[in-house]
Amino acid sequence: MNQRRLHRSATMALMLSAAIAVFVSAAQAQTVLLENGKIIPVNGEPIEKGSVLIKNGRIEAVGASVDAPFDAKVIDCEGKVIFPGMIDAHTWRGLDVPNESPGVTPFLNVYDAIDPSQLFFEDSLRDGVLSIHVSPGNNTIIDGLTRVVHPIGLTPEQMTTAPDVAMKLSVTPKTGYDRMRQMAEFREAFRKLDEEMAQLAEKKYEDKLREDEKDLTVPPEEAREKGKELIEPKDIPDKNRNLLMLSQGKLRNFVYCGAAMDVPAAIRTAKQYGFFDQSVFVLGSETFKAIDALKDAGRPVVLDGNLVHTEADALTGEEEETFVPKVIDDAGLKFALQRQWGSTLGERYLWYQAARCVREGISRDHALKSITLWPAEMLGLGDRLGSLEKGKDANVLVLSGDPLKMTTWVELGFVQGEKVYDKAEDIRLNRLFAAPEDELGPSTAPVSQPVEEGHTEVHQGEYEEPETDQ
Amino acid sequence: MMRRLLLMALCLPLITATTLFADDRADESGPILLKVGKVYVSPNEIFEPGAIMIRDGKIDAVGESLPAIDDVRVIDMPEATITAGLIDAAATVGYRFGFHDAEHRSEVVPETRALDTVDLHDPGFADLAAQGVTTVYISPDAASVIGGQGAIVRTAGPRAQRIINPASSIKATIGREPIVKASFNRTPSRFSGTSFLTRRPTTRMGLTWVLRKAFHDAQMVNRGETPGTSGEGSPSAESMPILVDVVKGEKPLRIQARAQNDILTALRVAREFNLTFVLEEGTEAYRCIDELKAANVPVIYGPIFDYPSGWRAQAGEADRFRLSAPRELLDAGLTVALSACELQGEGGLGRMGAYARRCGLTRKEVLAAMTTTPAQILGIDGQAGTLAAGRGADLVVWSGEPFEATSKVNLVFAGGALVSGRIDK
Repeated sequence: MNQRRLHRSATMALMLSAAIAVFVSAAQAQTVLLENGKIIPVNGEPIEKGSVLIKNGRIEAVGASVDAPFDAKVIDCEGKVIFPGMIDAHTWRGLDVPNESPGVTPFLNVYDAIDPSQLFFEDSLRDGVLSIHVSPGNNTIIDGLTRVVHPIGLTPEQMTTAPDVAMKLSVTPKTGYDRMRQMAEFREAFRKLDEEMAQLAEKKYEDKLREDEKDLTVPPEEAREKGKELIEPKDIPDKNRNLLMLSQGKLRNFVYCGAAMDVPAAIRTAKQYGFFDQSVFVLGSETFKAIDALKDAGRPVVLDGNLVHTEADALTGEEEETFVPKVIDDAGLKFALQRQWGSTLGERYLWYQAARCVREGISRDHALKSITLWPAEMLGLGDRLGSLEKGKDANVLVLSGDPLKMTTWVELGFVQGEKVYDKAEDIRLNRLFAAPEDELGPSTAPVSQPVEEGHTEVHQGEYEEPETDQ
Repeated sequence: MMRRLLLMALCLPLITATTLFADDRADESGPILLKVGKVYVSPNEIFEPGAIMIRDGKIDAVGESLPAIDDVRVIDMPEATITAGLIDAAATVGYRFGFHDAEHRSEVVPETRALDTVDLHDPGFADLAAQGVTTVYISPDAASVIGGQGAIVRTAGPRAQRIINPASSIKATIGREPIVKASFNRTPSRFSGTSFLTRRPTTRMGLTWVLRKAFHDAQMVNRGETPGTSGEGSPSAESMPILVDVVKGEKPLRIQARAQNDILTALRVAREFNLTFVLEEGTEAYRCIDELKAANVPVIYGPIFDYPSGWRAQAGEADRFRLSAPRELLDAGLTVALSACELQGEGGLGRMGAYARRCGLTRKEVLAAMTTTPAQILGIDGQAGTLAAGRGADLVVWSGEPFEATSKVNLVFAGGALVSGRIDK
């Protein structure tokens, strides 16, 4: 029975990988030359007029002049800007529900909850966000594994850029919890992990003694110590595997700190349980007040979509506004911007958030990096995403103008070398710009017909005919 | 110690007086010469580079370069651009005390004034000023069929100059709001259904009837006849003089309508009673361009959105929004002003202007739709909207070109006083 099930799942896996292979190979077949465009590679100086060659899903060459193979599809980008796909460093959107109700669920994986049909992905594509770090929400303690996806594909597999990128944690209390309980849950989770791993070690050692037909009466401390080396990866129960990797410093982690007071707790916890060197802090807008602690920690941060923190003085009622990215930038930290949802006029666009940074005095270089290269680095994908460099994934945008200009639209989008977005074919967007004739309904008053005539007869008898003063 | 206290006590009224009557930074407004990269005197008259001299709260001179007379403080901002202060012709601001501020005594309350319920020191005004909006028409709440008279005020500056017109146009609303929103305190019970105790109208038919009845009665009064008073929607005696003024064309009328059918209703009623009006919001105005053009109706369009948020998402009214609407209205030759309406966060009207550019308007068109056009619609083009010499200084100094995502409002003058931003000494 067991054997058969194994067999069946192996076949399934084979079929699945075959399906992916078809998709991937289709994606990688295109060789495209984007020529005559202004190139903003992010990692270096812009090239006023240059070309980008895309081959096998990767960027093959970037430069003022590029030798293209004869079969390359040439796209003229005269007057356009070539820019790397933007990266959303952290969002729970795209999931059906942001968080599981128990707080400690390190064995979960967003893979199981990504809904490719969500309009969110289509919007992201339209807005030039070609990599999205889908992560469990902030209402948690130790949540599951995250995933970087591109906003195109019918299944999470097709959408995956990188699986199991990081673990999501939160030191800010989950709904119904207070901070004491939140931290107690952290301690309990790691204590339990230690205990279960010790029991596993003990069992492994006993098994070995039994195998070797030796005396089983060994002190438990000795068994636990000696059994440690005997544990093989397959012995570790699934529910502990991710947490163990985290505590061994082998798993990237995104730790949410909603308030300034959570920052020291996050740093302390991360250091205590051995995952600090892989930490990225996801900050609420008020946390800029803990800038000294953040600066000392020196870890990269993801900023709240609400870039301005507003606080009313408790006594005078006077409001004080702080532009948070400026504080973070001045401290020399690498940051990533998030989009602000629920808004229609700009904050929903990553580039607009970056433009706001420039407006408030952050250098253009840093602002552009905060939506491309820095989030890529935070996700451990700095070698694949975030800039236009040879060898990186061909996640490339062709923009109608400068990325921080209000009049700029995404015209073309390439994900791993495949053209996945074309503004000219964006039905939803085009609908917002040109109302088809049949939708407008027949005009009751064509310009050629004078409207003044005949209008009163409709209401005849309803009341007296209004007299018009001559 | 005693002496210091005494001194403080003596100074206190003085300090209060200065803050109340001149705002805290007004004393900085000695003669100032602003030298910038560009001055938009009006959308079509540009000095590049440009300079503006402000003296005694008034624009003394505007030009490409002006001589710095010795007592003048010269402020050099080569990157900056100056425009006239922005005008939002349909702002909802200053309603601080109520859930919403419509008078519920009747459906027809043109005798009420929005200014009387507005707190001119509401922080909302300071926020608008900081965004570069120096003048607003405070739009009466849309919960009445014929609501109150809106007020035209400066958002900041010396108090004596805040109120430009305490009783501007009256606002009628055609749509869902007077039907649903108004009845919150007299909602028909789930069990008893509607009765004479509950609010009318309950449908768009009833709403239009109330509107017709009001203007019909006003026309009768205007002819010296006495209208019948039957029917719940009859206008009160107090409202009659105002309604008569509207019918006579002496009091301007604006109608808030969003959906195509509501806009067409507005046009129909206006035609029946020979009224001229200004259309507010007009989300689906692009669907009645021919009719609007034939009736020569100016539109205060706004907000532009591609994602209905907040109550707009729930209202289900005018969900056929278009990003191209302002462009289409302008192309048809209509008079179009832009308003941010309730979207006043993050740059407010300025952000709306930037977004309008994204939707196909040029910078000059946006500037016109936020300065000269609303001034003309509101009938204050003699006082606001351009930077002519001799006028009170209502102006905005932008860090770069206006209506760019990367530009911000650095300084704002309203009524001649610096009301937002700081000039380094």
